[in-house]
Amino acid sequence: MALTEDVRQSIQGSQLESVLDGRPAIGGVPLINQQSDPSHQSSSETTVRSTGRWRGVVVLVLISLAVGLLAARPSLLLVAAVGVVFVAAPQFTRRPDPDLSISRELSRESDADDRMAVETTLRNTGDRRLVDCRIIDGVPSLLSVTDGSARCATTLAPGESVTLSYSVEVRPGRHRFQPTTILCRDASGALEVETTLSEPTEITSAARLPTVPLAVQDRHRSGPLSVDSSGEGIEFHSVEEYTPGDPPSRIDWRRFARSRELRSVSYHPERIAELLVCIDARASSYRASNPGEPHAVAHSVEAAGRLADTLFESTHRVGLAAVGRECCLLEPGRGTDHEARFHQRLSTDPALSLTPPSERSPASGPSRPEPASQPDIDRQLSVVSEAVGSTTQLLLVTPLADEAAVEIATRFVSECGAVTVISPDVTNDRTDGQQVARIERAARLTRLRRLGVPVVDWDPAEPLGSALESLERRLQ
Amino acid sequence: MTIADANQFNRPAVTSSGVAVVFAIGVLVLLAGSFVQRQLLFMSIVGIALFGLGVRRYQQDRDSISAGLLVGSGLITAASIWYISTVPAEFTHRLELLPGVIGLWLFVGALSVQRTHWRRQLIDLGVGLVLVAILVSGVLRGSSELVLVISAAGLIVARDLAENAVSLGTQIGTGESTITQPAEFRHLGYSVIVAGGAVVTVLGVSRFGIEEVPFVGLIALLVASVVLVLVAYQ
Repeated sequence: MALTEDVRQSIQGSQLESVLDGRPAIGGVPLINQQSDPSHQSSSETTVRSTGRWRGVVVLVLISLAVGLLAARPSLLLVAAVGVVFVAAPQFTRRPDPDLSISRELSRESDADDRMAVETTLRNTGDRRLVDCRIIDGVPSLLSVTDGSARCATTLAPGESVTLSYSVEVRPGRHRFQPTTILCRDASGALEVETTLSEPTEITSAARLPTVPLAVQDRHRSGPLSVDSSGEGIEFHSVEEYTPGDPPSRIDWRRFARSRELRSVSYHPERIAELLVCIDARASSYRASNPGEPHAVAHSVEAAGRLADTLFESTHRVGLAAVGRECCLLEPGRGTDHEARFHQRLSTDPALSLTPPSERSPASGPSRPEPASQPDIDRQLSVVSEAVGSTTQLLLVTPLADEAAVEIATRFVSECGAVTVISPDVTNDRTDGQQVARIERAARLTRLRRLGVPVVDWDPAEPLGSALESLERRLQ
Repeated sequence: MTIADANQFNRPAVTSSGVAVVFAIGVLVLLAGSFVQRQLLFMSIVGIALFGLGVRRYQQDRDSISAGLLVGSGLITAASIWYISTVPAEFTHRLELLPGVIGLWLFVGALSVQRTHWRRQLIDLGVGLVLVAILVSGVLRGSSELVLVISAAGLIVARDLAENAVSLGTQIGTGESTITQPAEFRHLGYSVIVAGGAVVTVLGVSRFGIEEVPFVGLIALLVASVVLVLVAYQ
């Protein structure tokens, strides 16, 4: 079956309406929904650190002193003295105190393509000049910048502003802008102050998934999950002999009018499912097919959001879980508030942070948290397993980047029951090592399938809907 | 983001890198006192400049021109190092120039190569070798205070700009549309002003007749000032 992603259109947010001149979006172009609320602007706490810029000059001073002493040359002491002036100078520079405001505007570049123009403006609202202000806009990790740059380094006088203008290529799904990172250095470069500014902006390009493969596990309540047996519902299943007690609404009255023969029509019964979407956000899952490409956790978050949208629309009860540097758990539920909570957790929960855990020195870039230990992961898995009820299905989204991912899937199968694995493929075959990683992942997929676990092998370059449909076809 | 886009974060900022190399070259030009030294230094600079261009080009287009540039620059640099080791009549002239040229080559290499975990170490090694050239010039050849002080200030500015270029490249990147020049020029201005202040202060103090102060006393004074600065950092 061909991909039938239903691309819907709606525009919300006054800012975008003004940009689009009030024209309705046209068919074929994804829904682009930008929400921006200045009242939700926030600035996180700041981190001050030394860059160690002048430590090397201290060594230069000491070497010059030693050589000058040994050679009894006063002129070399002057060389050391020059170094001392440089080392002492940062003491007389003021620590930067960034006080900035942020605003962001989005506009579609043309009706024909899926590119959005982004303009992020930062204004120095403080009373001090920021002599070295490095700005990194929080572009959603799955959206690639096609034109312009989302970063800059500049100076900002009080009241002065700078605008980052760039274009992003929109993909299906909800894409929330991450906080904008500001790195301010003093004039000497010896001190760095890091802070972030949040301007909640979301781009939604809604393309409904055609299907979500679910196991038939119902709570005996009417709902839209199709099962194989016949009964009450909407979709036609079969015409059967009338048996006394069949409700009048199921009798085929046309046939009765024609032939005076009583027959009952059966439909596919539909049930509500309870699902928990669990994302594998361990350190090993932060792998990308290429440097600069979105990593598997970003793809997993995107997939989880789209799966949830489709399931919520079908009135299923959906929850969210993640294992990684922290445990994230949102019990299954439904309704507008729960749906909003789901997406809020998906975009802001620390467990699903799109910044990979790292032990890098903070001097080389924005600081990063450290990965969780294995005992901590075990504890998190226990928490998730306990939250999964006997009728809850688990959709495990994992790149299967290591053996532990298979162990997690098998543990869920033994402890929870119905488990479906959705695996974004971030391997490639450019190097020998990458080829080995690809083969190992394929072996893990095969092992899970042999254990009877339905597995969706999803290439993020292809639509998620196609991958889900191919599993559905295989299961049929 | 393509691999090429990602590589923009593996390169130091271009403007600061270029100015840093100019300062480093300026230091060596100041130290080269004799005509032969200047000739050999000019040859080395040509070789090293071609090396920098070749490395940059090779990382973008691995074509015959970039390969030719790399081979040609390698030959010129090797020849200049050979001449520096053999041609100058005075041994001190050889000893003065050789570490400086090798240091400059490492410095340019560190700022040109696209992806290296050793970039900062290479910069410090290059700066260290140029410092050796300054110290040799002061100890063995008895260069003037003015030359030594200006060379030291120029070398520190070169290192500072190189460090700034590396941090900008890592944090902001060097994409065509990425604006970094305002911050780069602001920092260059700061560095040059401090260098000027350092040169004026140090030469001014030396004119007060510090020769009459006991040498050990001078050393003690400088060590005390270093300790004071380090304590202030804490």
